[in-house]
Amino acid sequence: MDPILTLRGVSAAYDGTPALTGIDLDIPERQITAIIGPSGCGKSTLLRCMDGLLLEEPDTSVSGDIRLDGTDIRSLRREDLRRRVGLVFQTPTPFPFSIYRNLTYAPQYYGIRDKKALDALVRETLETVGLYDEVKDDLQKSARKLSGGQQQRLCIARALTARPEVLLLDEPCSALDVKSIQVIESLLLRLREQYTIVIVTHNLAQARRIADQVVFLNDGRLVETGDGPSFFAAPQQEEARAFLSGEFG
Amino acid sequence: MRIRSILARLWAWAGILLTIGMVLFLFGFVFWKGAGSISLEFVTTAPKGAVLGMEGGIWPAIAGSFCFTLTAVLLGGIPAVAAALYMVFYCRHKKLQSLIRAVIQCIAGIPSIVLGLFSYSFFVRDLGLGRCILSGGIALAVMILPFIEVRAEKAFRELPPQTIQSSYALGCARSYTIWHVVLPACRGELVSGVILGACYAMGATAPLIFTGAVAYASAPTSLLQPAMALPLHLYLLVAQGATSLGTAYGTAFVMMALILVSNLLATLFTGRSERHGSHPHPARRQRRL
Repeated sequence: MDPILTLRGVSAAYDGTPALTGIDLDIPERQITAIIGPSGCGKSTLLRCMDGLLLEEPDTSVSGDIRLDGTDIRSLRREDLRRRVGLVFQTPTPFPFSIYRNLTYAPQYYGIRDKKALDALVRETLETVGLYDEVKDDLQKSARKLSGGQQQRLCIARALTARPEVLLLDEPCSALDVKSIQVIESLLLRLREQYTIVIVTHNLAQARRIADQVVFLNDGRLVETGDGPSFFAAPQQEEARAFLSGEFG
Repeated sequence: MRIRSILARLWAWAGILLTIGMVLFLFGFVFWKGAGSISLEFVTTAPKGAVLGMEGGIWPAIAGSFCFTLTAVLLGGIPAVAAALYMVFYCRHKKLQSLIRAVIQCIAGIPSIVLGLFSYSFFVRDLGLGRCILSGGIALAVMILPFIEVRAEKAFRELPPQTIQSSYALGCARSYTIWHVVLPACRGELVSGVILGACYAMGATAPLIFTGAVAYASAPTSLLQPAMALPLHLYLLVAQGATSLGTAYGTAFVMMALILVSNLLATLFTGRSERHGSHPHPARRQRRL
């Protein structure tokens, strides 16, 4: 399958301190790629390179070649890039407005003004993330009043309202309880049919459950990539073996 | 050790009691002394009497104060919020930020009488605006600009960075994010900052003495007219001596009541936005977003 995102020789640094060095990686379309590795190894940094959000932070630099569908992302307007590559953060970050307003925020920016079209979009994205039945009578309720798991699903729904091609998730389950994690994992498996998903996770069991491709980083280097089952069954590199067996992490 | 902790507790309690006591005494004293002069007529008619202000009301001063304050809030509040937005969301250079911050602190340090003199010499005389609400309002606007800017900047910086990044991550431009996330999310803090700034302006006398406030005028109808202002009226009544002391306390009563109500409104707005969770976990990160 053709990769939708390709990274070649990507390096990144904060204040001159390297966080990533020479990453070569292909992200296959409509699959789940899980990025794993010990904390501080550059997982989130790698994710933020892919939608250019890293460049918004002061004193950061990114070099190397990142292509989305063959186009260098630096030749895209930042806004266009981010519309095509959505990002969901570690902690749920709904805007401090109603559920409805959270979901119409991006579509209105993209020029959809028609109330019926907005209503349909809200309903569709809420149904996609399995939240519609839970909140359909409370769309005007403040999004901050939802539970943590609901808030995170709302954030995924909000990312989907921009109609992205790739969905990046930065440890989306780390602040959630077991039940919410299950709901989100089954949601991601469903979303895979339409979207390319890249998820950073520190939860190896989660990566094992949902990943089609696994990327193992350590110290800002890409150590090993492989398809999920074979990576977990027989990692090729000594570092990956040590990490999976819990020797560090 | 035990004695020390008891002493520390006593000290804290004494401090609290003293502060609350002083405020209650001040308000109580003025309200008690002024209550006798307060009537519907007092707040709706113009001052009268052989010595002006001995009798009659203070309506033109109330209306004048409102006009001065409103002018100041419009002319000072809008640039203050804009400056805060620039500092938090646009300014990339740390040196420029420090320079702007130094300038704002400098403005905050200018004695208000100097602002009055500046406005008098520049707007009243050089630009020929004359003594009017606009000249006085500009002096007050400069005075409250740093006051509002500091509060607005603090509100913007305390927004969780990820809330703002979520908007960028949806592909939305910075200007859209500011209009549709930042300003609505900080509305409570902004409104309360503006109200507190308005209280500060309403109580100020020095910037108005040369620039727009006069001993007597009818209720204002234009920004280019001079007008009465509550603090200057109070000053003049007290200066006249015992003859007008009753109306002086009445005037102080009205002023303090207005400021008290405004402060309560400000608290209400801040409290409301906190309940609505615009700042659930203030991220204390001082950086450009």
